[in-house]
Amino acid sequence: MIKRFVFTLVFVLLISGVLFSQDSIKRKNSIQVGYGLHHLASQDLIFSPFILKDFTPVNFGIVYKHEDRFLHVAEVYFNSYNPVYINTFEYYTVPDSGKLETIKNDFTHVNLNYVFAKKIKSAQQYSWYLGIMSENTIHSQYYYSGYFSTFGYFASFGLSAWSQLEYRLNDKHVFNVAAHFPLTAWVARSPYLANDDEFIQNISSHNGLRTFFAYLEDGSLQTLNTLQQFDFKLHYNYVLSERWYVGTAYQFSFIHNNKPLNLINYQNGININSTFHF
Amino acid sequence: MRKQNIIPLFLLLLITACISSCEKYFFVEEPKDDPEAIFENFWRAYNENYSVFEERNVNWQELYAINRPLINSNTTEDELYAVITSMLAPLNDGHVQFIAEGRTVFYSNIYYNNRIDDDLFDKEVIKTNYLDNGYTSNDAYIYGSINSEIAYLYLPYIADNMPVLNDVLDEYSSTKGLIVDLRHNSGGDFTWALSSLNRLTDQKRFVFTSRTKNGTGINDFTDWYDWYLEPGGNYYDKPVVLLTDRYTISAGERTTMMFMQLPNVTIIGDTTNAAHSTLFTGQLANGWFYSLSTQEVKLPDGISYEGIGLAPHIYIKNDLIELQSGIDRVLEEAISKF
Repeated sequence: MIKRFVFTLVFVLLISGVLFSQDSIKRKNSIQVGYGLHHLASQDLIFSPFILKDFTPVNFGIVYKHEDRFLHVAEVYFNSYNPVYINTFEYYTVPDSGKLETIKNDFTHVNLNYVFAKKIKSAQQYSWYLGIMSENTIHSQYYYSGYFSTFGYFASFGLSAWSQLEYRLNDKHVFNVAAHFPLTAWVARSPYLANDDEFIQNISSHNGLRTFFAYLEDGSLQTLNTLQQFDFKLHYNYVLSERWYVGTAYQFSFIHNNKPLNLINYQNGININSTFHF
Repeated sequence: MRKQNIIPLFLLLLITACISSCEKYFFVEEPKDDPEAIFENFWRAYNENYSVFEERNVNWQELYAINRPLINSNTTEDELYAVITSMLAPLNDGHVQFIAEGRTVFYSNIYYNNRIDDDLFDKEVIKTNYLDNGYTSNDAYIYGSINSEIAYLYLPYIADNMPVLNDVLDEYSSTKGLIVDLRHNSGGDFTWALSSLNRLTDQKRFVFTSRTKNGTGINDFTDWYDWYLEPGGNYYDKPVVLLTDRYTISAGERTTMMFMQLPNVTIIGDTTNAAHSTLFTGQLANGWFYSLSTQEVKLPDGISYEGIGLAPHIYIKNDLIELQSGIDRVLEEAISKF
């Protein structure tokens, strides 16, 4: 599946390159693929008073940009973590005294964002963009306690303030700093103690999509007093050619929410990425 | 590169580095990993979130007063484990389990912990001596016919195996009736039973009500939430016998509650385990895991049977010697009802 995806992506990029190879005007579109090593630290008091941590290589991102009169950015990020407080250990069961091992928690984070922005200032080396973002964060979390598992979720669909500063050091080196935070968001989170009757009712359809929307229905509109979310990205790109950039990026993401109980979640990541302009 | 160009980048890196290293500032302080703190954390977790102290006649404050003086900074891990499990034992709750490194799981419920009557149920006896040839058997269910005139379905848990009931009703539609065997049913997700038993009712039936702890106070609960069994599909109006035992637990018991509201159902066997809530799990600072009940559940008669169990209409238990010689007395009683 992954092979097919990579092949398709490379194929699309090559075809795009051929199609646009005669185009000498400024490239309006770019697509960037990134892969990186990320660290998560999460403390969700609904589930545990402990800080769960993991360092994982399973992190991907794709960013599409189109810049004409306005800047449009569509982003997808995926992270997978197995955060624990204490490493797994062995224990025994009754009646057969079979040896079992505790299981690491399993978190999946997905972000789907869209940015609409305008270049508001441009100098020789700097370009400053300001805009709004539809910022959509979904965390699916399986907490394992021995042979028990508890499902938890966090989802926020927000309208965010977004800003980006692009700095061209010279023809070969480009820095890019972007930051955003939601001003208001529809937030859905696991209830106190994770399983109440509404939660059980939500899963009763036994249909993933219906259950997902049922979770969302139980959410609420929140603003900065209950939800503080902040993302920061620092990119460095080396210009290989007019079409191809390669680079690295540092990502920081922070979430604090206090309904129904305190949640603190932050991620740090270093990515390598490749950008194709067309 | 000009100096003024580098400064903003340096500042941004510095801010980011500060933010990412401020763990102590961001997070709530974790419980400490020492015997006294672990004991306090354990006791508080149950005090704030366990929902059925009253139903199980346990005074948690009193247990604290008795056991807290036994714990000090020199308490060994073995001693701490012994104190904690001794406090969980009086709950006698099938949802309360305790998992510690290198040890056997501790079950608060006396039946599970001591495996009382565990060997009074044997699937092999049913398959070998009662089911007609051509039965279906796997980890999720066993079904077939008995004497070509009774449909039989065994369910070891309640989950996505439940829709098989519809297949059984179709495949054995010409039989006199149905035996559903929930003995040693380990529970699961009762909503699968709610959506799968709809052919067994011809009208919407109120089956139970429940509420969940939603705060740390003793009376912090959600509102009561009523659960209904709705009719659906071709109504099955033949006699149904349900079999239960002391190992019918949790969602297995919620499913039993649904059967209890049906007029054509006879329940035979032993009283169920008496753990009706949903459960929550947590971890202590030394890595030990605990589980606890977080709900109250009442039948339509307004009574909670948590800690009591759901009594059968006909009480009968297997005899171990008989069972070892191939006789399932409970199943034979069920067969005699058709």
